[in-house]
Amino acid sequence: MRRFLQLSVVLFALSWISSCDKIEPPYIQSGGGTGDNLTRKVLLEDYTGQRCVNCPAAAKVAHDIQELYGPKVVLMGIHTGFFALPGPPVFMLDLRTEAGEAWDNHFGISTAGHPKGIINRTSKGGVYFLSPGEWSTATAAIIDDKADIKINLLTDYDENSRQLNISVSSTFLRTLGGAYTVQVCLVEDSLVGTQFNNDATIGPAVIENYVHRHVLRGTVNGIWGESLTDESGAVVGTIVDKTYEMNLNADWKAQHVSVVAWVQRASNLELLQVEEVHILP
Amino acid sequence: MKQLYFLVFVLVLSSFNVFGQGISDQSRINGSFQIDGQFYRPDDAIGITDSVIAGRKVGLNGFGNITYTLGSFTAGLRYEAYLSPISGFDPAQEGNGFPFMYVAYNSELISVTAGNFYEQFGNGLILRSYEEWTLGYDNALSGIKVVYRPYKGISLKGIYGSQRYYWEKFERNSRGIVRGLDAEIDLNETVNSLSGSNLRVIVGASAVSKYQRDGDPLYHLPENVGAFAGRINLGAGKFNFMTEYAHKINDPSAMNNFIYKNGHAMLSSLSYSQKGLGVVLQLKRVDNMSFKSDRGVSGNVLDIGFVPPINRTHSYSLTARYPYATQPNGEMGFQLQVNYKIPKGSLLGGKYGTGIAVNFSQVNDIERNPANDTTPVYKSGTMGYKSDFIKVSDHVFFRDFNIELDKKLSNSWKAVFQYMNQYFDIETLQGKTNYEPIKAHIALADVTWRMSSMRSLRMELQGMWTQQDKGNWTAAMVEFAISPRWFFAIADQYNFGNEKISLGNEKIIKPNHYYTGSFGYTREATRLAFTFGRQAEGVICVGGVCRQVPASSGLSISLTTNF
Repeated sequence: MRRFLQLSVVLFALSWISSCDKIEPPYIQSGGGTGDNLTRKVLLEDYTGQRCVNCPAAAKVAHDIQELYGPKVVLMGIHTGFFALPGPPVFMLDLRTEAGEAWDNHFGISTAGHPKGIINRTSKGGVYFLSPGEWSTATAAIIDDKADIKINLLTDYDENSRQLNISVSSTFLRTLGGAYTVQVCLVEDSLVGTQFNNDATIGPAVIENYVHRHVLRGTVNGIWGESLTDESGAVVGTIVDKTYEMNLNADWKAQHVSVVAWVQRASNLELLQVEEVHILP
Repeated sequence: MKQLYFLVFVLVLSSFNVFGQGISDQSRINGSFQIDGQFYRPDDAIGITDSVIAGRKVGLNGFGNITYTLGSFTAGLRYEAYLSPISGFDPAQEGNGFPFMYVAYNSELISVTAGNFYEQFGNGLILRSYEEWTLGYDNALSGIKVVYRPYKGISLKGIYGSQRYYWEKFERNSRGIVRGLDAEIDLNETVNSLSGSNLRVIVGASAVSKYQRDGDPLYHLPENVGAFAGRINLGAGKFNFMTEYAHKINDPSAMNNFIYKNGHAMLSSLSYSQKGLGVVLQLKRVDNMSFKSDRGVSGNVLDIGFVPPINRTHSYSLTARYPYATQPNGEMGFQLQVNYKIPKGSLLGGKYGTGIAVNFSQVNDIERNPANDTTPVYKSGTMGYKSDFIKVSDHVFFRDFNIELDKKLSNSWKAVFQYMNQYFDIETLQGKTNYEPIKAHIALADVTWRMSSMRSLRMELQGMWTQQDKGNWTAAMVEFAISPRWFFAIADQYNFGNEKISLGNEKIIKPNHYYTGSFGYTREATRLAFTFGRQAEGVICVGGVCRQVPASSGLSISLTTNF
């Protein structure tokens, strides 16, 4: 009996000594991707709202990921649902969009609760959204993937007339089957408004001059984009050009506006490539 | 694949019946089924519009449990269906299948379970896997469990597996792997000389480790996180004392904003019990003890550890309107409960005696100080904060004082009266920013008239008075029962006195009635119940774990049976 107990204690101790990782500082890693054009960029859709107390912390996670990977990560803050409702005199901004609400409904964001993020519209078991704590790992898992499509995104903006011309040229880097669509969106950065918050390292419970980053303002070519190829797909080297003309909304600050364009698989909406260009240098 | 397992399971059971009469005589099958269905209808007055229903006019949650026992051998499975989940349940639960299957061998010396299982070490501080149907909560482990009893009074447990995450199959690196060991010794059984002792001593120790790959580009994360706990239970005469202390090493996660501080938890309880009198005092301190098998998730999923609540669980609708949700990131609380039965024949006790229960509990936040001069508290990628073990923050999460009288008035009448004074930090406990803490008075009477040996009438009248959140409520209910088979009930909750209450930036909610009519039929172990009416928005908590219940309107059906 005594021998058994002694053996148990030794085994017990050995197993636990070998299965604890005590991490010493520095806790934060540095250095991200290479910015190589031929790897897949990542779109992080941050479904958020000004009344959502956990959303500033989530926005910080998104910002940290972009800091790490630079332009390889494209951020888009999508204000949707109850948490994005305006409510004067405190919540003066209405940052909701028709596309944002449609995507929220399609992906089940509001039903699951904000904040949620979607990484390149990849899904697991039919579930697209992830909690903020999962974003960085999910980004790291795909950011070094080889790109199947290259997007050449160009803009031409006239400050006097506020006319914006957009050109999206998509090159297939390998032969792909199935239908693909292209989606073009407008994003405005640094909108200032009130935000609820529960992360004391970010600010008080009610932040009156919160800076909303990378806010989706609308789509250029419909809620679900437009067709790039039919079901037969495209062979390597195929280039598909799309151009768009529009007038920029008078309330938007052109120096903060960028165009985000991506190519996605029509069957499951997964993004193959994404690019972002500011309309003013 | 699971369907194939099920087919094999059924065939195996069938073969026993066909070929082995002797085996058949020794075998036993138990089971239970439950189906909860809801039919929704638009109800503009309480905010239920067609767009809220979004085409999902019916929700259904159901399960079937089957357990087969043959001597030392047990096998069981559970089928679940959420098609689609009833409103208020996580949409990720949508689906159906067999999430729980196991085979087990049990003898006096050893028990081995392969497949899905539940387990708890001590009070569950570092390991508790369990299922709670009303919350839609299930963190069952899938793997191997061994319980070894080498000597009388000694129990050694080992578990190894992954946890259930809705319907998502475990794949490599999809979430963590949980390993655990627990040892418990009942000294009065093990040591012969103590077998007759008045002092009863049980000691236990446990260790749990989770493994999850570090695929995070932002932080250097521990891939193996260990947690350890020790406990002792002492009983002497009418007194009983229990305490458990748990320690967890650095476990940065979404729940603690990726800080690297160690976690601690302590739970103690002292009780005294004699005929007509019971006293329980409980103390708890929790510091950074969220312990999940996936560091990236938040919410009520994949919990390895469990923080027990030390608050009274209320059962009446208004006293349970603002239930406490445990705060694994930090809390410090106590509870005192005194139950006294005034003897019958005395002045206050009357002919039948009078039961009095007094309960007080309070939970505060723990005090947190910066880990150093330059780092704000809770900054991610740092130690997070320092916290003195004995210091309590001024921030009160929850306070509940309640007193209950339980009085039998005659052979046919009995009554329960209760008063409750509550403080509830709704901002912390329900995440409603800019809402004032709720200060509420609640009173209720519950009177039962036993009309005959078969028939009884129960009447409830409750009132809640508060200036915060949605303001005042009153509730009334009349229930007529013809035992053992039928019951009929009508009830109403009325939200009033809120016209002047400003809900931050929300629209002002108008007074509303939340009426329901219900009836049920029970025969043997089968119960069928129908309820029609409105469900007020609220929160359901079981064991400190909570689920939001949105307002709804329509018909609900519940069918349960056991065999």
